[in-house]
Amino acid sequence: MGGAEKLVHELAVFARKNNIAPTVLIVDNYVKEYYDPIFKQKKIKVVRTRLSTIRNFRAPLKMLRSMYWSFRLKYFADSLYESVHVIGLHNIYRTKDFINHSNRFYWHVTNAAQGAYNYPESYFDNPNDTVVCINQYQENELDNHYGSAVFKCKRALFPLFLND
Amino acid sequence: MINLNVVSRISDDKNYFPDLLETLYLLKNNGITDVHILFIGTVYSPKVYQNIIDTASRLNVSSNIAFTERSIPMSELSDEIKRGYFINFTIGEFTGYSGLESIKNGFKTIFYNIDKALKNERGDLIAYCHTLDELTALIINISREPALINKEITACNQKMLDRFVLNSTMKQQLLSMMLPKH
Repeated sequence: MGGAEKLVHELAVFARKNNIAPTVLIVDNYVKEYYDPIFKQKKIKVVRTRLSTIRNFRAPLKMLRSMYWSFRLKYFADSLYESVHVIGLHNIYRTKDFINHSNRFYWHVTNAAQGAYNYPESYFDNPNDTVVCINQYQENELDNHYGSAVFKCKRALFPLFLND
Repeated sequence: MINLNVVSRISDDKNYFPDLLETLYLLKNNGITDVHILFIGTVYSPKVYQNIIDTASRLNVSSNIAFTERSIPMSELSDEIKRGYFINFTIGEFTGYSGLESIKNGFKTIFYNIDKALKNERGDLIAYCHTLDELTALIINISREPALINKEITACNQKMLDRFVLNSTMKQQLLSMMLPKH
């Protein structure tokens, strides 16, 4: 499992252990992966769909499903879910404008040495959102790159972990 | 013979491999010629792959490297490979899940920092190498006193597993992130 996938897995398992029913949302990728059976075995719900408005009339079922989820997450996310966790800042553009929720957490899972910071400052402009770093180096990198004033959102530090 | 294994896709976003070739070169200059690196991973970037080969050739260490050219799950590696040392790339002393998996598989795992901006950091953990020189020095020590150094690396690795265990305060913090309205 790749690192980000592993984090999704550990978060979902942690949630289940604490009587929370997580839904893993995989956006813009319909291909079943090797981790799907792992989630299935652990009774973790996985939804694969698209939230942006590309209409695909050749796949009407997928399109209907996508419309259903887009609507649901845009207007009812806050009442349906306790919190929303986006893994990887590179996924914010797929979710920020599509999932309206008063408690969104953006998990930052890479470091500067793995690639440049080219995320727009607007990713960090919502005071209700929280950027979660997994190591102290990232906090310094974000401050050095954007300046701390850019962050209107909350910030948190939480380490990678393994469920016992 | 010292076998170093690098479990990683050969791809554009992970081009830290030439450093390891330089280590081989430095070791050779120190009279240590029996160090081999096996790159375990699918080649996604022919350019990065070619660069490894060209750099190795330039540094005269071509005979010290090999590729599997495909990804192999850690559990399916041969016993000979498993007995070697696994190089895991880190940011400073931050270890990701791949390093954790390596340790959990019982592999002697050496961490090599790839963020040059952090090369002046100093730590006292034997398995963490902040610079090329530290990595080279560690391998020299392995070649001199393998039994002792192996023991120290294994002990250091086991200690690192503790970092991934959540105490009750952390569990509470994570819960409050998942259920902020409660």
